[in-house]
This record gives sequence, structure tokens and C-alpha cells, in this order.
Amino acid sequence: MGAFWKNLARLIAAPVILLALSLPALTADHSIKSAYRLTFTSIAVTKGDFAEKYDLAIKPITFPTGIEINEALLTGSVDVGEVGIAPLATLLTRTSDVVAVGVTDIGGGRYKTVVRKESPYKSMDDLLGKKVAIKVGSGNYAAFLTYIKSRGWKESDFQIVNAGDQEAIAALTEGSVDGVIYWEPIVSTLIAKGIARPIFSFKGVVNNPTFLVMPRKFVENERETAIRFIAAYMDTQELLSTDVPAAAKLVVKGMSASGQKVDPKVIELAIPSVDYKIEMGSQVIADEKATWQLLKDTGKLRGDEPDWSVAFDGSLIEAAKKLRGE
Amino acid sequence: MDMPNKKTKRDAAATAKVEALSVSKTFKRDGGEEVAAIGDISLSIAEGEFAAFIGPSGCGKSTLLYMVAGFEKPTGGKVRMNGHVIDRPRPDRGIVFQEYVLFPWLTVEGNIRFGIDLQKQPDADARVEHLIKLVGLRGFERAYPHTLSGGMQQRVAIARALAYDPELLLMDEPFGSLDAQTKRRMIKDFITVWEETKKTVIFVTHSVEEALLLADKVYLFSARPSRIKQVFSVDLPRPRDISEPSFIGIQRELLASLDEEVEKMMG
Amino acid sequence: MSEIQIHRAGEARSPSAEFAAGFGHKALGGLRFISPILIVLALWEFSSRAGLVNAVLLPPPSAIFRNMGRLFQSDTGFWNSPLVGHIEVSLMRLLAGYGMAAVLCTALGLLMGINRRVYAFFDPIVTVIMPIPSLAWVPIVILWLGMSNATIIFVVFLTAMFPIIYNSAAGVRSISKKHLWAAELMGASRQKIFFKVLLPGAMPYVITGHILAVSLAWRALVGAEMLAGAGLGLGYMIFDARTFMDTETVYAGIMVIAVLGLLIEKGVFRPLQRFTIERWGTVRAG
Repeated sequence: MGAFWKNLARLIAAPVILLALSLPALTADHSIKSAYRLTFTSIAVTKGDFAEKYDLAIKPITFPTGIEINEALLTGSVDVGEVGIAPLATLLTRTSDVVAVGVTDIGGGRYKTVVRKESPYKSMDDLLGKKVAIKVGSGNYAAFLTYIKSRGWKESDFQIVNAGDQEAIAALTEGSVDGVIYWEPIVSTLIAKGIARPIFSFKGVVNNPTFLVMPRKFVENERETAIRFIAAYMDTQELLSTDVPAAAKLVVKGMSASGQKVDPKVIELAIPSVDYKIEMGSQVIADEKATWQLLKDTGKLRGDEPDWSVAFDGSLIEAAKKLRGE
Repeated sequence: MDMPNKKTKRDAAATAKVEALSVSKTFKRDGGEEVAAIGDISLSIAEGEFAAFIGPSGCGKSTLLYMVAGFEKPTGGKVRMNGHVIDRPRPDRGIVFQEYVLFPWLTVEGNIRFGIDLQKQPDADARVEHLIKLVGLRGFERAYPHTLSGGMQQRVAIARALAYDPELLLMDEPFGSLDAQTKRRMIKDFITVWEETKKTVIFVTHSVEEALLLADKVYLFSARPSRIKQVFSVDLPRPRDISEPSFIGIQRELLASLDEEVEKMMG
Repeated sequence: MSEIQIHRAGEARSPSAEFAAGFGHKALGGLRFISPILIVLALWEFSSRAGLVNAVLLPPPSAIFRNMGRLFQSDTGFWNSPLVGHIEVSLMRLLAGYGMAAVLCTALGLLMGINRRVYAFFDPIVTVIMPIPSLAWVPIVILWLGMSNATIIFVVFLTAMFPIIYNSAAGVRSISKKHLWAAELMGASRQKIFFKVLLPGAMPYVITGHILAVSLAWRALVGAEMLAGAGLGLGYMIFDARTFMDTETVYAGIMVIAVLGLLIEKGVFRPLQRFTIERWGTVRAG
């Protein structure tokens, strides 16, 4: 009987304690539902304490890639997400209810091709006709399309295996694919585990930005929260640019929470492969337009050209800069 | 009732179609407990005889029929047909079950032909046609069994058992699941069929009236473990009249003797 | 028995009368089947056009059908259109996977029904593996066979095998001892008993098993194609369209899957059922 009452008490106490634990998040003046995925920026902003400074609570919801984040942004089930250059083109083709508010990072260096360590492949040419894991529709995929176009190859010259982040890691680990074309820190994780070696980097091939995207309604209704998030994000970018070892520690923490043990040394080498700059300059917007045209030309997209004039909103960045005291 | 005289008794032994010699049968129940269904049965059925087995439920009369068919083996004793111990089911016997047991995927004609085709007997078409006429199924050759009434299905089963011309016809409560009206009609019609074919018949029933309307001899089984309590010879011309005094007399005697055994089973 | 007594003769209907009655019934049944679907489509069209639902997530049926029309076109005609190509690949995979299961597993199931030792060996295996959702196999099968046609066909095979084995065995075991006795007494050898009693007697269950197998296999096929489609098949088409938020193509694919599934069941298995087990009265007409 005693055990029964004790258990009953525990049963009642559990939700109360849970509620209490979640109180800081609820009581923070501003909270934002953020799409969490395995990128340096997303991990660092979520696992670090950048948001606290702005009295902001980040509620992370995990997604494998930007493709899935697109759907969450469309339905308004997240307030912000990191979306690559290609998924943004897709999203803007279907809706004008979202807006790009900043750039997470820029540069083709975050995309690499890795193969199994013991395999004979040395270049992209060796992978022709082989099984390659890639996320179809991602910014990475757009980089891949750009590259094979420049080489005069077709998509069907490879056996494309459409894979999410964890699937791509598992596929190469198990040896069910010959190569993985992915972004950081997925590729570095495979290298750090001693499974893979890199054979190709998309640095110089493309200079693709990845975007911070929000539902237009969120920007209109909770502008203050949006600005605070961007301010915290800029702090994160600063850390990634200036204190690589500290940033790497956060990334390792994030990766291990996803079940991937990584050597910080490998991450430290990978972090500087791109530039962490929030600005959406004219070149960034031109890149986005070019990617839209590329996907349209390859028959992947249906629908009219987006209204580019409302697709980007740099005003939040300016407000965030003020908040940061610049 | 007229007792058979010595001469017919000897003749019966000489031309015995089916013989049971000290047959016994024990079953194992689910709990492992052994039940003696048949205690000690000896009997002899003559060529051309219409024999009826009657007795309280569970006395092993159907079991003995299945031994004659070759479906089951006695625990002790022997069952013989034409002087040979019965080893397995063979097509010199035909069977009619209470539940008809027709093949639902075959038409009336297909069911009746089943045995003939298996043995590749000649003149199949003519035989089947004749039998269909004989049992009153003309016009239903192409029908599937489920479209027929119970009585009609049993007619098919009887025709199927007779079609390949077995020497012995075994019937396990064949009219047991038919309504009273249909049953009377079936008995009357079956007498016509039997008189034409003149097969030796073993007919298991729990109806005294049915047994006395049909059989030459009625073998009364005792309560478990069973033996043959009494054999009644019915020397009345067919079709028999149930209101005739001689019929009523033998019916009363058989019923009284059967009731005693039923009482014992009820314990 | 020369005077013929027809018992409840009305029950024995002639085949042509049955056909005529069935035809009128069918037309009425078809109408009853299609009208709720039409009502739902009309409501859907209205809600999507009126903006009650997000038109990207739930595009109006008219847009879906228009898109389906587009997918059925190509410069070289209907037969070379992208959708026909995907349908062809999917149906071939279904046929290959289900076909293998139909041959191997019907045989194994019947054997299990006949032989007690074979049953005792396979029954626990079937019982343990059967409840595993077929899509759970996909990652493992990808390991064995890679991202290939073979993987999808094998998953279809895996899905189809259990209902076939289970029902074929149950079909044989459903045949009463007395049917076997009757056949044996009429002089049937073991071989004849198999072909003339066990096989037709098990048929109602076998057919039920196959219907179940194909409908489950069809679902598993689409799911497996989404995971391992390697560029072709209806499941892959849907998956790929989702990547580029082409919801009209996603819904067009779903509709094609529904219609094909219905056609396979109503067009292939219903007639088979009608000509066998309904005719024999072993299963009531549904």
C-alpha cells in the first residue's frame, strides 16, 4: 500500500516538475520555435547561451534537412529555419508567405564529397555510375547540379540515393553507398569516425549562401522576437568566425546529442571552410535567382518566377545590429 | 417378432459380407482419461442384408461403421469383409454421411462422377444419367451443392456413393439432419433405390422408426462399453406401414429395450 | 424415386438469371460507390478555392486532374509520358515480388497444411515475423541488395509471402476429415486427393490470402519506392514531387495509386472470386 501511494505521488509530481522546469522558457519575454538541424550555425545557436542575453527562449524542433523545414515554414509550425539556396527557390515558387531575413553562412566549402577510406576513388570522375548519397532538392544538390553541368555530365550518370543527414552517415558507414555528397558537419563526422576521406570540395564551384527564413506573419506579428533571434544569431556567427575551438566544442556537444561522437580537431578544421556573414547583398540575391533558374531549367520546379522584391527583408538585420550596440 | 430359423442363420454365416469378431475400441479423452466405447462386439451381416445399427449416443455404432469403412482401427478384435480383414478404405464400399460431405466446388454431376472417374470405369455418362434419374435430380445436373436443399444434397450424396457400384453401402445417420417431412419422403425414395440396386447396407441411426421402416435386421447396441444387446429381424414387406399392428408390436419392444440402455447412459 | 420432388427449387438459380440480376445490382452499386467520392471532391474543390485550406498543402482537385493530364502527356505520346513510365515500373515491381511469393509461398503454405512436421517447423517462424511492418525491412534490405529494383521487389515479396503462406495452410487445414475419408473411400490416391480435394477445398482461403497479399504488397511497394525508389516508380514520383513542393503531383500520384489498387482488386480478384468461391457457396458474396 505504501508503494502505491508513493507511486501515485510521483505520478502527480511528474507533470508539476516538468511544468516548473519549462517555466523559464514560458516566462522568457520572447520565445521562438526554431527548426534545428545539423549545421555549425544551427547547433551553435541552440547549444550556446547566446539567446539568454536577449531574454529569448529558443525552442528547437529537429529536422534532417531544409526540405522538411520548408513544409514546417509553410504551415507555420516553426518560426525560423535554415534553408539552403535550392529549397528556398522551391519554397518561393509555391508561396509568398515566407521571407528570407538573413544569411547563415556563405561558400561552397561546406559541401564535400567523401568516399570510404579504403575505396579506390580519387575524384568525382571515379564516382560516375556509382551510388552516391545526396539530399535531392537541397542547396548541396544545387551545387552538385552546377558542378556536373560544368563537366557536361547528367544527373543520371550517377546512381543518386536520396538521403537525410543521419541516413547519409549510416549509408556510408554500412557501405551501402560508394560516396556521400553532403554539408558540414556531416562529412567531417564521417571523416572523424575514420570511415571516410574527402575527395572533392565544392569551394570555388559555387558560392552558395544558406538563408534564415521566417513566415511573413511571424515577422509582422512578432518583429521584436525576430530581431532578438537575429542578434543572437549574429553573436553565434561571431564566435564561429573568431573563436573556432570554442565553437567546435558546441558543435561536438550538438553532434553527440544526436548520437555522433566526433573529434573536436576535425570540426576545428572544418568550421573555417565558409564565411559566417548575415548580410544579404546583391550577389547573394543574384545567386538565389540563378539557382531558381537552374532548377527551373532542369524541370524540377513548376510555377512562375517568384516576386523577388518581397522575398528578402534586410531590415531585421539593421535592427539587430542596433540591439547588439553596433 | 419372428426369430430367424436355424437354416437362415447358417446361410448368413456362410455368405457373411461383413463380420465383427470380438471388436473393442478405447478412446483417449483430452484429459488423457481412457474411455471404452465398444466393449465386445461380434456380429455378422449377410450379403444383400439391410442392417441397421441403433443404440444410445456414444455407444460406438458410428465408430464400428468407420471401422468397416477402414477409417478407424479396432483396439481389439477384427473386422472382416468378404472374409478379409479390413486394412484401409477401398472403393468396394460407399459412404453417406449425415452432413452430406459433398464437394462444394463440383456440380451435382461432378460429385456423382467423382468415384467413377477416379477408377476410370466405363459407361460413366450413362451410369451418371441413370443415377440422377433414379435419385430424382434431373434438371439439377449443373447446380452447385450450396444451391440445393438438405434433402436434395443428401440425394446427391447417395448417388455419389452408389455411382461407382460398391458392394457395400455405409450410411451414418443419413437422414438425421432432415426435417420430418423430408425424412419420410427420403426413406420412401431410398427404398426404391435400394430395391433396384440390392446392395448390402449398414445404416446407423438413432430413430427406431427409421430402422424398422428400412432394415432387414436391427442390431441394438448396449450402453458403453457396448456389446450387441439384441438383434431384431424385421420380416415385413416394404414399403412398411407404421400403423400396422405387427410394426407397432416390434417397435414397442425395440423402443423399450433401447430406453433401458439410454437410461444406463444417463446414469 | 421416379417421381421427382423438387425441394426449394427456387434456390437453384440459372447462371443467366444470376448474371442479369448481378448486372443491375452492379450499376447501382457503382453509383453508390462513386457518389460519396464525388461529394468529397466537390467539398474539397470548394474549400481549396475559397481559401479555407492552404492551397499549396491541399490544391483543388481540378488542379490535380489538370496536372495529371500533363503528366500523362509527352512529345512522343501517352505511352511515353512520365506517369505511364512510373506506373509501368511500379506494376512490374509488384508483379515480380508478388509473383515470386505467389508461386513459392502458396506451395509452402499448402505443404504446411498437409504435413504436420512442416507446419510445426514453419508456424513459429511465420508467427514471429508476420507482425513486423514490411517497411521496417527496407533499411536492412537496402544493406543486402543496395538501392535497387531488387530491394523493392524483395520488400514486396516479403510483404506478400505471409498472408499467402498463412491462408494457404489454413485452407488445407479447414478441409474436414470426412471429405478426405469420402475421397479415399472412392479410391483416390494421395496425389488425386491433393489435386481433386485439397487444392480446390483450400481455394477460398488461398484466394483470400492472395487478395490480402496484393493489397498489402501494393502499399508496401509505394512505401519502399519512397525509401529506395532510385528515380522510378509511383512512390518515388511522390517523394520527389514532395521535395520540390509539387503537391499537385503528390496528390495525382496518390490518386493513381488508389485507382490502380482498386482496379487490381475489382478487376482481377473479384472475378476470380466470383468464378470460384462464390459459385461454390464456400464464402458468402460480399
